[in-house]
Amino acid sequence: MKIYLALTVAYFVAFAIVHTGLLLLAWRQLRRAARVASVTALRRTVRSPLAPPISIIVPAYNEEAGIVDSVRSLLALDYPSTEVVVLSDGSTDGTVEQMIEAFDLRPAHRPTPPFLDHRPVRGVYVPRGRLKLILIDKENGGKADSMNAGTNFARFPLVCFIDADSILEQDALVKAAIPFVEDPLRTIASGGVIRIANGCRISRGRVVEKNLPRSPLAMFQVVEYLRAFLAARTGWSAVNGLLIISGAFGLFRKDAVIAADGFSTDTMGEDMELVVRIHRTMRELGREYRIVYVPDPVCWTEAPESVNNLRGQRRRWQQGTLETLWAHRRMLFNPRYRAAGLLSMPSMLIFEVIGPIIELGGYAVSIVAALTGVISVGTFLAFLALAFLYGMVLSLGAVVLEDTAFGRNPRWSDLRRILLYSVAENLGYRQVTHLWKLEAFWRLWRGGGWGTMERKGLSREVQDSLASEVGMR
Amino acid sequence: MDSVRYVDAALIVVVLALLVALVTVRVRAQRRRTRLAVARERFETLIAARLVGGEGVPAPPPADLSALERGALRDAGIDALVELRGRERERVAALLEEGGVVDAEAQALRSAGPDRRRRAADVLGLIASPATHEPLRAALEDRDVRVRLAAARGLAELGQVDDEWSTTLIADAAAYEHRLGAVAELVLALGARAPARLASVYFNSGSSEVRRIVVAVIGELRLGQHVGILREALDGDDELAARAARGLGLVGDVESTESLLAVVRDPGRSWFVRAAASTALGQLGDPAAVDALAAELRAGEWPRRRAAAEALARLGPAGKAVLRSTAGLETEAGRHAVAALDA
Repeated sequence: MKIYLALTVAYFVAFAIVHTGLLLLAWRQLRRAARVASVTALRRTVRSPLAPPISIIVPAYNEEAGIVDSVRSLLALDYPSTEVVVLSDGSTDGTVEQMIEAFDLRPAHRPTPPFLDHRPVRGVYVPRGRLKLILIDKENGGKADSMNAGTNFARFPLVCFIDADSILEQDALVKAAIPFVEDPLRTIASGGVIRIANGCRISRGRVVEKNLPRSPLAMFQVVEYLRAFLAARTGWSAVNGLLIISGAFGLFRKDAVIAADGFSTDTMGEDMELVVRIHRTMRELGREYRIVYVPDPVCWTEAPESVNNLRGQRRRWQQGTLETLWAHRRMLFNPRYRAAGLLSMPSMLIFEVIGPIIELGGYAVSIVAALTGVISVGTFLAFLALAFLYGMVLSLGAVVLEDTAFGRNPRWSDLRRILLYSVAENLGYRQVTHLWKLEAFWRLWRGGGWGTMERKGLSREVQDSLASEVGMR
Repeated sequence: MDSVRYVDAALIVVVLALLVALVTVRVRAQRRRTRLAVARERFETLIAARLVGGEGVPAPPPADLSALERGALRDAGIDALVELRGRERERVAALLEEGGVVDAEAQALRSAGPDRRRRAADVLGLIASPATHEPLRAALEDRDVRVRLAAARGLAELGQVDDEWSTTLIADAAAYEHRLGAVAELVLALGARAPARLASVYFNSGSSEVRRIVVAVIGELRLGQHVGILREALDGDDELAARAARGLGLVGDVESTESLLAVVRDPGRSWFVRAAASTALGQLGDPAAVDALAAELRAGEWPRRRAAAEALARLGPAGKAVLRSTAGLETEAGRHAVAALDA
């Protein structure tokens, strides 16, 4: 029992060191970004003829209710050269018909590019007018399969993946593309902030009034997202160890996606798996590269508001994490993979996979130890207070960071609610999400779903393209 | 046990400190935001009045402005300048000069922080009034390459590039530090305001990256006077040649057909160079390219076949005839031909 308690303390110390470090790194990074923000210089370049054109890829499955508004708002984004590629993933509702009618689409002949495998295409539709839009109607294969098909059909060297029900802010693409403009040869991916749209007023595919969610469950997620996106991702990005670019909004070099064999259809966490595989591919090819988190561009998305949906989401995320770590286990603690192999993947393993076991076990063992007199009740309460207080420090740190850098929640009432939930999440919510993570582990263990992922060799097109700034079109 | 309690106490202090920091930061930020919004509205109105009424609308005397207000005037002015041209642009630039923005930024160019100096160089380059020339010229000697780069770009925006040699050296130094986006801005500004200077940068640069950017800018800005550079670059490395091929197509240099055909047929060239040459041949529209493009349509790499099919579709009846004859085939080439005819 004493050994377990010592292990819990050691874990807690490691957690505190890593997460305080990330918070400080993020703070330094954001301060620096604010200092060097050139007035309009890079924005001008992004709007210039040298800006890399972007294919926006939108996988859609039974999205008839919102697809037309989403596509309209994507077509109107502030960026000089884009095309929108919508993939209907075997939709059984009116997604295809709605698109055809709204954008006056006609059937077109387009050969299927051979770079990534995906389910067969049933039809391709293009506008009769001059809109830069293409609709691919394909057999159902899941989101990853659709994103692979979208990458194949994309005409431009940068591809932006976005969920059909997510909403990009008007200048999100400009901001996300700036790293590619600054350093076109080394930058291969960038991701932005995901914010929770619950509670916001949305009209015609735009967020017209920003509010915090009313649902307590969604509010807990607001606090979680603040910590995860602003503190953790900014920190990992500073050491080129970013492992996740959210599937809801991410910008990639098309040739890097193809070089990594695209999204895996065998995992629940295809977005994280792709980023880890890109790290691996680039290191194995000996290429210098950057995967960048840009804390400014915002993408709005709906968060689950029911316990069941949230539980399902967390189980999927955790299963994706486990599958990715297992598939790329040779990267763990391997200096060849630098920050990804030595820092961020071990951190993911320790704090996301082993952490819930230690933390929940720690609560149980401490209670038993206190009841059996191994430790005093005072010590038990002091440890408990330590865990809660440190959780509060992290959440508050992220709130301070966000407020200083962006001030996205200007109302005092919003701040009060965020603070309240950042305290309250330590009193049950965090423990329950840990339980769901364990549940995912258990299901995966029992289901024997520890697949391996094999890579195809690189074609000449991809090798040439990767070595080039021109990129694959 | 005691140590845990000490840590608890320390964490309580940290939580309280963070709360105090949060409230302080927020109160200060809100005050600042409110003052900025008021100042900004005032200066936007002033800018609009100056645009309509000309020099008759006076700028606020610099001594009457606080640093925050001067910042608001600078930001409102720069946002307007990015959108304006000609006489209107000069009016706003003069307003910023009269309001003391140019003097303040020139002063900042002598400050210790490189980020502050770089920002000042950016601002002066954007204002681009005669009073900004001297501070920007002085900043060309700055020890930080980003400041030198911003100053060089500012001078390029003004069309005031007296010394292409130092501009080239600055671009090379920045390219060496992977600051290619900033180099592209400089070359774009040169191409737009002083296109004649681009040749000197191209021939004197020791950086292949800089030369590639120059070639890309010549193409994108359709600078016909530099077609010789594009033709020469077609013999360069694959990166350079791809950009040159694209540029020749955009400029519409029909005399390059033969050189582009040679690139298309060259098996030693990378696929993206050959695809770029095919696209350029389509843009030039010379039917002499039909045979080479027909061969490309059956090429090994998918992007080359697509580029060839699309180019053939632009070559008039002869190109379309090739596509129609291929369209019946159950091959990849046939599918590309169908798609090109359908587009």
